[in-house]
Amino acid sequence: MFRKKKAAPKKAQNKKIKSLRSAFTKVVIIVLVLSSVAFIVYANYLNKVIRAKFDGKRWAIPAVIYARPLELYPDLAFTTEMLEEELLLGGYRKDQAAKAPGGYDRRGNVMHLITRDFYFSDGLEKSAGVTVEFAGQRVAAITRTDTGEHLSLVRIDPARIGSFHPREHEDRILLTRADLPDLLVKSLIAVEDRHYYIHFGVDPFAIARAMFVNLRAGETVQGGSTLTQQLVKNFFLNNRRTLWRKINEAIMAVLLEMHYTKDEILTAYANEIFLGQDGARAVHGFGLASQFYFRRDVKDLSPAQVAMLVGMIKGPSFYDPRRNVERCLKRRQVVLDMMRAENVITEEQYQTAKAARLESTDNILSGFNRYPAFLELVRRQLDRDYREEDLTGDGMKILTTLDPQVQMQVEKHLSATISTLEKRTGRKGLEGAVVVSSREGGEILALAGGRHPLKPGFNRALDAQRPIGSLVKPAVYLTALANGYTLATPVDDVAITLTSAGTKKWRPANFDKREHGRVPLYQALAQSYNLATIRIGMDVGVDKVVENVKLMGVDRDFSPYPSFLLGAATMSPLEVSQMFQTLAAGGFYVPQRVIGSVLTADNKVVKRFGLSVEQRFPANTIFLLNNALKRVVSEGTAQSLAGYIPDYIKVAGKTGTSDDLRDSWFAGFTGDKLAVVWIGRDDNKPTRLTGAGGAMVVWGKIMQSLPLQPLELTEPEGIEWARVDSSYLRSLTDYFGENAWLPFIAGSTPRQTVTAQPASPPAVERRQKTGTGLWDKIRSLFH
Amino acid sequence: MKTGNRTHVWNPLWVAGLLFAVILLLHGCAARPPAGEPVVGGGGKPPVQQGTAAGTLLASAHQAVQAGQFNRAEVTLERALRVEPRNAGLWHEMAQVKYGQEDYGQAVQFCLKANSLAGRDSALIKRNWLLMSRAYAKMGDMDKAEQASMKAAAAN
Repeated sequence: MFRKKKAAPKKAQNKKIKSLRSAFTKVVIIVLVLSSVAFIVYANYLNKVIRAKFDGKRWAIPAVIYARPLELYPDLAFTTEMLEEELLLGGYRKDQAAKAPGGYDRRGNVMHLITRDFYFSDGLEKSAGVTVEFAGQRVAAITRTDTGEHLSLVRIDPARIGSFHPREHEDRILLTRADLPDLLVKSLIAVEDRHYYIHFGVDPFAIARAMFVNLRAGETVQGGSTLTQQLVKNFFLNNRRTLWRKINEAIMAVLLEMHYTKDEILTAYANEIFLGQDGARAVHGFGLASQFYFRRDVKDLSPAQVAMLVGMIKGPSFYDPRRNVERCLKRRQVVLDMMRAENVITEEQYQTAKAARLESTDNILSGFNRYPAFLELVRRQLDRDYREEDLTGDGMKILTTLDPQVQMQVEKHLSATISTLEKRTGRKGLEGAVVVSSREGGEILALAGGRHPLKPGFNRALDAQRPIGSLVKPAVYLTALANGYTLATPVDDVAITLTSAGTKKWRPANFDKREHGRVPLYQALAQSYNLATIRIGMDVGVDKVVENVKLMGVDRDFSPYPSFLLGAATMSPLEVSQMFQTLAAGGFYVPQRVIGSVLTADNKVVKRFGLSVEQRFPANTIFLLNNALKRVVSEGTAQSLAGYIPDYIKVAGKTGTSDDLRDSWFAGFTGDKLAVVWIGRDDNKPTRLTGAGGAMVVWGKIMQSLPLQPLELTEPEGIEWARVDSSYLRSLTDYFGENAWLPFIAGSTPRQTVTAQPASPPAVERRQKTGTGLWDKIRSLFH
Repeated sequence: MKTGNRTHVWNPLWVAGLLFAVILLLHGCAARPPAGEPVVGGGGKPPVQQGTAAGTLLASAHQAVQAGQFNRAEVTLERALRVEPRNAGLWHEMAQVKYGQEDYGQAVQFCLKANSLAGRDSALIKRNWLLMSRAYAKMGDMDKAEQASMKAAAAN
């Protein structure tokens, strides 16, 4: 009974167990099936992720921005020092005897260099070994280094000045499998993954070995990850050390190996690997890293250099040669040992490499996105023509107009002069902006958006909208000259009260609070007389002046209030620059450009921003106006510019000051360059500076330090010159000016003048021989 | 095949271009100002000299034009203009390239620009007006074409 009793439950229990077992088995089977399905689905998902990334664009290659290429030719005003600066900026390295592309060797005033292949929009400029000789701050001769043949010009591959990569701050130079030198591949495999060519994505032996080593050491000292796993980790996964990530990594590594060849994976690895940080820019891949650390192409790396880079994979910041020299060197030697052990290098190579010093950190090629204000303008111009994905998608090359020589001087003098001005005025918080462009071509050569060139943020050259003050006057006088006025027309600089319906009475005044009586028109402009200007502008019509400002290139709507005539309208320095560009280019509207062309990664031209011109004003009117603008500098408000710019250069320009000395402006051009400078405060408080006392000083210092061409104004047909005897004014006013040689449109010459021989300009107007520029004397002080 | 088509399309232009080149060469010999005489008013710079940077680039631009590669010619001329931005002859060359690109509006504008820098170089001014006349005719503006050719006749 008891037994039975006992047996019965036992039976039941057995039954229970049996049914439990079968249920368990069922559950297990179901779970297994489900998890297999889940696994398959998951693996399939991972598979898709991998293929999508691998088959599509593997990397968002940033668009690379280049400076203008330096073109050297005999007689160009340029120095050996300037060339060396350019070459270093362009990533050239100092090489004994300049053996390979990208190397240079300077011997006194002679520079040997080997340029690098570069595709421009007019085709490939092949690498060339050239010797450039300098004499007297000029290029004396250019010859081919091998044959001695004289060359009329050489175009040097331009410097990379930045890249656009909005989401991730990464950068890389993409390499193909063929670009990877054997030495690098073998070293990489010797150090990171010895069974690379045998395993299927995961290396069980390596894992076992790593586990054994780690257990014995009690901590993680060795990793068993294959190159494939490392790539997967960098490529698809985050950096957390979890089991789940490890599992994902392994699955994806195997999947990757199923779909792609060893070579494809290796190439991807070589492009992806993180090898250091340059400010906000992450240095990825061996291509960029070898440029960054050694200024070399990866194929030119020595065994010691390869060893350093391969060693750094373990910890790019821990083994950073810039900060941890000893550690980096030690690691390199370990890698060299491994390279020898695996027969990657010969004993002789090993000895040489081991003895090699670590690369000097001075050589490190930084300077990416070094000109943020300029790059901002490049970006805006591109935004008009491209979508952001197009720009960042596939490694386009953007060839810009930036002239590093001009940019360097702009940055240096803007910042230094502002500091000096702050000391002098006792007012802190001054800011400034500069735009320099080529006179005829309208190419933006340099741009500063603030006194701290590397500080990103408010770009005043583009975004500061400030009252332009007297910079508007050339537009007023241009309108007058086109409407019956001559340079000698007497105008009354006497008080005037303006009333218009619904507004208060307005009584403008001169800067010196005085009236100057009756003066010839050119004098009113040269001295920037407000009262005379208002009278002229009201006579010809404010709307006509507004119309001309638009024609000059600032195509916006301005209200035609009388205050417009004295520059109440606000503009950015860049807009002002476009406005003066039209005057500098002789009345032709030349759209200012920052980009020359855009090329795809495989060097096809996708976009050209070519030179275009459009005549907006008659040549003779502009000729008269520009002559008057020269007088602003020779005898008017900008006279003190003579302290910076030698007399033979000649400058046409205009000072500008807004109410209460809030804005200080100067815009002016020489024979080859136009520059606009603005100084003011971000909070719009007074600066205590006039145009001549602030902005013009910056202008003078920048231009003084650059090679300049003398200003020539080509006389158009139908101009006659006359000596204006100011006695005809004397009877009417207290003005006692000197006689002045003035140009007139034929037929408009006033009778009270002594007309000269037809078409015979005064001696000073003649073309003059260029003398020794002051700029080079100044420059030489800094070298 | 492509070039074959091009040559066919460009044939008359091509001949005209050659003619212009010849005129230019002849002009180059004739228009240099006598030594010692100052160049008045900064205008009338000597034509582009062979063997100089601008000269080399101009020669290369001519090659490109002859090969029907107007875009390459344009880029090359822009380089030349960067070296000698106020050389009226180069602006005229640019006008010819624009004409070749069938951008007649810009052809006219570049001629006007060339004229504004030509000073007393009446031969160049004449060539500018001639080209403008043809460009206006291409744009169907016969009045302006006529006026331009009258100005060309007057420029001597």
